[in-house]
Amino acid sequence: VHLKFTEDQERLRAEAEAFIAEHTGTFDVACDNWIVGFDREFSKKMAARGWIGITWPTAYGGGGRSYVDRLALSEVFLAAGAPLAAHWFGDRQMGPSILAHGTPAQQERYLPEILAGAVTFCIGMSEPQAGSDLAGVRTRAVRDGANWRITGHKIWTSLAHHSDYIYLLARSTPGSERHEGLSEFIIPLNTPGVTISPIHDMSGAHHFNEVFLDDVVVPDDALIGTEGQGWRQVTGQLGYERAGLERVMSVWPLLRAMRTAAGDDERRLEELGALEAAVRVARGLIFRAAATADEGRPPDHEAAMAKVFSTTVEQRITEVASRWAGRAARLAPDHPDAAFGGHLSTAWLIAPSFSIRGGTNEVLRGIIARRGLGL
Amino acid sequence: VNFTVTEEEEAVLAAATEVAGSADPWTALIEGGWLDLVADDPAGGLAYTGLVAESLGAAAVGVPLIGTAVVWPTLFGTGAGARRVAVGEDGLAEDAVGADLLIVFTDGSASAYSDFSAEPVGGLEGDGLAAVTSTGEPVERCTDPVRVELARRRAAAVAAAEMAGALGRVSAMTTAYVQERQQFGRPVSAFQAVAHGAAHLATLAEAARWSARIACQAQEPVDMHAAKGWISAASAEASAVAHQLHGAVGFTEEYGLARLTKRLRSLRFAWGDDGEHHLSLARLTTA
Repeated sequence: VHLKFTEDQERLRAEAEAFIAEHTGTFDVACDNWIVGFDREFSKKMAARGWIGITWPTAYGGGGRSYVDRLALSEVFLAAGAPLAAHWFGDRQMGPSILAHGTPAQQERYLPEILAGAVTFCIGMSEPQAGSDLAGVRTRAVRDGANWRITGHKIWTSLAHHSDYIYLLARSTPGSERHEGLSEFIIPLNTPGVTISPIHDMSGAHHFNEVFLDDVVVPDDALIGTEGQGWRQVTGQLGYERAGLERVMSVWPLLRAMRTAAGDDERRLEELGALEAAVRVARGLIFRAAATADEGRPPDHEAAMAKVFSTTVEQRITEVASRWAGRAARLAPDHPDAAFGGHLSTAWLIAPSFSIRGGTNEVLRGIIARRGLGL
Repeated sequence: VNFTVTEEEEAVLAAATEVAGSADPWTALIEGGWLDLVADDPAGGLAYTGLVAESLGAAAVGVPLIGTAVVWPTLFGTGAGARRVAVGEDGLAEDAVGADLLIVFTDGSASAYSDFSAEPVGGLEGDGLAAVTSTGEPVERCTDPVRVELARRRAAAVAAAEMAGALGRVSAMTTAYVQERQQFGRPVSAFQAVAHGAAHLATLAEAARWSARIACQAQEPVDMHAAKGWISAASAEASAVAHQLHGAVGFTEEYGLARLTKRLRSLRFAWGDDGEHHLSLARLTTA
């Protein structure tokens, strides 16, 4: 056990902090900016510094660093409320999956674009009938000579409208059920037969979409990994999806505003301290899950614990801030007297999603009970 | 950052677990040299002392580890030997029942006394809380406020580790019990509400374990306050979940769960409670 940042990690963070200081004012600070803040130019600047794909092997142009290094770096950007959405999914999950399961040709095609911050991926997992029960996926992929023909309906697809590719889970064995017969595909979103339709969330923001695939024809090399092994591949990804600091830092701009608003009021400071303590504890669980990945084991129930714990903390931050704000909580975010510089308004409107997206609390507690405790 | 428990750390945990389970844990701690870790290595000894505390916590063994092995050497630079050290302020002291030495904190300084009276006032079994009155001159004094603050934080971090050990045991007992207990013709763990309760408890215990280890090893003030503050608050919820999932048997004197939950309650309000550490933490983050 060694629980301090190394000098090298401290240096990486200092460089990131200098970068943020240099770019302050060039982006809007906002809650949830890792998933809604789409800013291609910002991502390209990060890419130029080598901060996308830092866990990928150097032979593929990555940074050859650890998952803990990635957390150490990403904490700085999340704390700044910086816009990360243009590269986040590709960096966190699609790149690693292509590294693990892709052919050399696929790696050569996709990885350099992700590393350059030049392309955006969205995640085509959920369907209307397959939410928590992801194995209920009905999207069909049927072989047709050297091609696949894909038909189906994906939903809750964040950023599809900004994305270049969808990373898709589909049923490739006709008549297969549940975890069998699933495969993963990468499909360019400009392929004929793909239709993207917006869903506005309760904050009015548009990051969700429905993606309809109507007999979409893609070549054989759209398939990633082994045909029929999609379930194993996708569950490996979910650990990485759940064990990031974004799970406790979505409302960081709000927490920072609370620090200022607490003033010297002891009751408020004590409430704030309870939240700050929980954030530090959550951080420990998240780092522990990442360290599991560095030990060569994808985090599983560790990631589930980290996420269920962390998102509960994010929601509590929003609730305490609401109590402090009182009637000002109702003001429009751009009103001069809006609570916490308008961040509370946004935070409250997105807070219900924290414990749903990336695996509901109920699904996660099931994973902890079954795979962590053997119940 | 690396969360892999080394062989050496495993060995410390195993040895300390044996100590905690022995007939006379205090003597075993002295003979094993477990009280000298901070005195011998001021920077690194706290992490190992934290592991010892985890093991003692898991066995609900109440000994004056923190005063003797953490506060005394931090304040005075040497070990306290085999003497039991109580620590207090405002007339109340931790681990004071049967203590040989008493450290009293006052604004930014600490004084140690060998002549004092201690009247037990703790209502829960094993609680060494006592009303204390010192007589005579101090045998040692520390007037460096930075060192005094460090001693308090280290005490809190090790108390957090002791609580984390107790919470780990509470969670393990609960996980085992819900699989063993049959109702409605099946183990109660087959009911999702019960399984999710056990999962929640395990999550709290795991969070406690790592936050205490981070506090004892990295010794960042923020993390030391966070660990004791959060674990203290969470111990109430964790104890309630464990009792609920155990049903009536957990509530008995004989079964053993109550020894742990009583110990957790004593420790929650010792070495600074949740409110105090949350306040200290917020003063750091808002500074």
